[in-house]
Amino acid sequence: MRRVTNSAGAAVAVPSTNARPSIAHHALIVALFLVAFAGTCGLLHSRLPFPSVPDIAPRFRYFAEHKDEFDTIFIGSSRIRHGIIPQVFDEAAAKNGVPTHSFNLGYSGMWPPESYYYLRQVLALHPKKLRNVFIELMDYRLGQAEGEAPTMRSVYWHDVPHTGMALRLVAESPLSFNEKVGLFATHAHEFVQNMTNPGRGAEWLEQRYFPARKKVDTSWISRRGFDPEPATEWSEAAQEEYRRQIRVFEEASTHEHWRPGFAAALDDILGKVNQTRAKAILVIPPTVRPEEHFTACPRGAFFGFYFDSPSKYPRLYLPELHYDPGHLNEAGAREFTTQLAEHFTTAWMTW
Amino acid sequence: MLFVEFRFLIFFAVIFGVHWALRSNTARKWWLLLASHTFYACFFIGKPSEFFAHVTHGEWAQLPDGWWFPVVLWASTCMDYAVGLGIAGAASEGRRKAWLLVSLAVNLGVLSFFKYFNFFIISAGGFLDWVGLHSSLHTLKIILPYGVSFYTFQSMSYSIDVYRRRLEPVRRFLDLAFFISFFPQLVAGPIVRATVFLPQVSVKRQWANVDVRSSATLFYVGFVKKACVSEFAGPFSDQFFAGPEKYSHLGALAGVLFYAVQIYCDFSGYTDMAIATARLLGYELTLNFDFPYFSGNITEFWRRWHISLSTWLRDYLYISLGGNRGTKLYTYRNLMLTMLLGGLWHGASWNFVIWGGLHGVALIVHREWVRLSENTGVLLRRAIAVLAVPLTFFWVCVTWIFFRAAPTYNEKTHAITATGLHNAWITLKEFTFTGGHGRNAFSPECFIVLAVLAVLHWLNSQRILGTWWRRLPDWACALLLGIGIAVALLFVPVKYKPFIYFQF
Repeated sequence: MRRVTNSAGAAVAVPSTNARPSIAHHALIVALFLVAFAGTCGLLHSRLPFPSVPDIAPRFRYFAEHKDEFDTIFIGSSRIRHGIIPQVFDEAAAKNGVPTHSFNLGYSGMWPPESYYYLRQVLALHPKKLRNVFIELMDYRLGQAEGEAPTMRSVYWHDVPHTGMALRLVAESPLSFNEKVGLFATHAHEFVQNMTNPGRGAEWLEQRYFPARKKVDTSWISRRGFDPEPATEWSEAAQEEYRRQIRVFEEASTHEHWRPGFAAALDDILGKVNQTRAKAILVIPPTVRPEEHFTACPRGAFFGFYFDSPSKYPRLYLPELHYDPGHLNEAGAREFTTQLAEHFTTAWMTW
Repeated sequence: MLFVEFRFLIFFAVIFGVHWALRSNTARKWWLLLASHTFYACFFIGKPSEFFAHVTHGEWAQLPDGWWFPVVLWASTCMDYAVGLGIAGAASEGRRKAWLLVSLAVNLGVLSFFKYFNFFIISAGGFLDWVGLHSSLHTLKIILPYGVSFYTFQSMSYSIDVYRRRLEPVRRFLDLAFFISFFPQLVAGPIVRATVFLPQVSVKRQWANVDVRSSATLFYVGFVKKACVSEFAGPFSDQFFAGPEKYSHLGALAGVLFYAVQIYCDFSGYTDMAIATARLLGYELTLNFDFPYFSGNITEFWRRWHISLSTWLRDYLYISLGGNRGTKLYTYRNLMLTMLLGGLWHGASWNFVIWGGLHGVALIVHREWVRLSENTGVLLRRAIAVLAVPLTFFWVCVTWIFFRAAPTYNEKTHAITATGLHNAWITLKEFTFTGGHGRNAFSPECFIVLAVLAVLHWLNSQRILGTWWRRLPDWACALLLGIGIAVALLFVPVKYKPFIYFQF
């Protein structure tokens, strides 16, 4: 500012013509802004509870409240959610002399890296009795989990390690350059969105003051996370198509999913489980999708139960036990869970 | 691409950087013209790679709906450019008028076709059926080009101002194309007059004149209004208007108030961001809102709500109709016509006509009231002054009920259902405590939220917050803005709803 005399003879302050801020001043202001912004976002992110992802958050919160009741959990996609009945598992295991109390944390579309993030959040609760962690062995989902991104579901798991994991898996995938660029941009966008906590304050307000706005189905609580698929009538044509898919699946032996990034991500999460007193157990439910047939997986190197063999587990591939080719119905879930429990207890005896 | 989206931030950072890096004014205008069309294309292009693949393979049928929107924009621009030159070169008044009529006919023709064709066909069909003459009129599948209501009005303002000799015609086509398609105001206004914008176009913008701090603050305020407040209020009003009969009087009160908050914050938030964006590029747009809900009467409300539209209608429609240069009845007719057409401008639907009509009635009543109350006592005038703001706001809320009551269009039968107006009638009865037996209500916290918003808005209208903010040093502003944005983001949705005024 400089002092000048106005027409009435009084001294007044006016902006100095040569008082334009320097570039350093501008840079400092921008830096201050960025530090304040990033610092506040980071602080808030670290203090906020698990986000209100529809259907997933209620299960997580329920488990968090009852974390010390369960010693066995199942993590994975809809094939875990609709395929494993915790009560049946516990009964079958107890019959074979291994008492368990299990909970199904599987949810539709929960593929890695989302499922690994979710499992990390579960482990961070430090469930005291947790001994067995069943993880569905799945490839990385290259597309979006829920139609058009972004949604809270597609955003919430994008922290630094899991976004890095996603980017590495995209880079290693057989996609075209353009598709890879598109997925890079999507993941980067979702990472920024997650780190800037969009809507997290509003959801807190909503839960606290306006809970009636959303009605949540909690029927899964009594079934400990299991959601049954209904029995369906298979037409002759549908059965023929299903049998064709089984043939194609069994003949397909060249699918390669054992990319370095995938192996590293799996190693990482198994290591995380093993750091606790729990044991990580991989599972491949009965599947006819060639992209889930981990032919290149050194199965001996990872402890798990792999049901991706129609010839070895013919009952699990009967149409009457399936809701659709990819999912079991309730009767199928009962059969699969019993077989899984039997495999588990047999292995348990040798531990 | 919405102003509140992250990708807009990236887009604008590139536009901003290149714009100020360019030395020549012409190069800057070309750059902003390109940017404006890129921005516009984002609304209909879908995935760019797929769009260009369809174009290169000549798969025209596969192109997304609306790929031709820029054609309408360019056609309107070219026509008004020619009209401007035509008017300037016309040898007689008759020819000048003829050129102007061409502009009005084409612009209004375009607007009528895209916006009102089906409305008039359906209304005419309904009328013919009503009088017993069964009709077989066919509607067309017409998609409304984004921003057509806004840019045709801007375009017309240019032709009319050239005709009225308030403006020299533009010699460089680039200048007019840039004016009409400038992206901050292209899709939802404010409706910038040619007399305001074109003089800015001819002078090179100086970075030294850009008030970055106030522009960033204005953008932030607009962002909070749209992304936090409007998006928060929206679900409450949607919930209420989906079944108003289920709500009690207090529920109706909250539902309508939430809509009043939603539409104000949505539209004025958009405008704030548009003005701030333009300012950061060195251009000044027209003020569009001036705390309208604190108006003491309906005339004042229209001086403070959607100012760019209301002044456009006043200058180009009301005054052209004769304004108040005649008998009282003649003036009231002009007022009513202006407001009815103003209502219709918002959309081809009777609820907008009713909305405009209610405002027209209120403007007439207010004029009469002013005349009758000239000789009232001081005490009465003070009492009226106390009640003026709440009464005006109450009436504005009543009109919002009809504005919100959008009819449902059935694609199979091509019929417009009257559900909207029926719901409006139910809402009106509950809002005015004259009927309704519903039991649903919003939680008491909703009223606390509304009260907090009202207090903040009042503080802002009194310039208390603004004055305090301006006194802060730059570093404090930067810190507070950084913290403020991080906190505001806590209240924004992951996916936004489009701005309400995009549909108009």
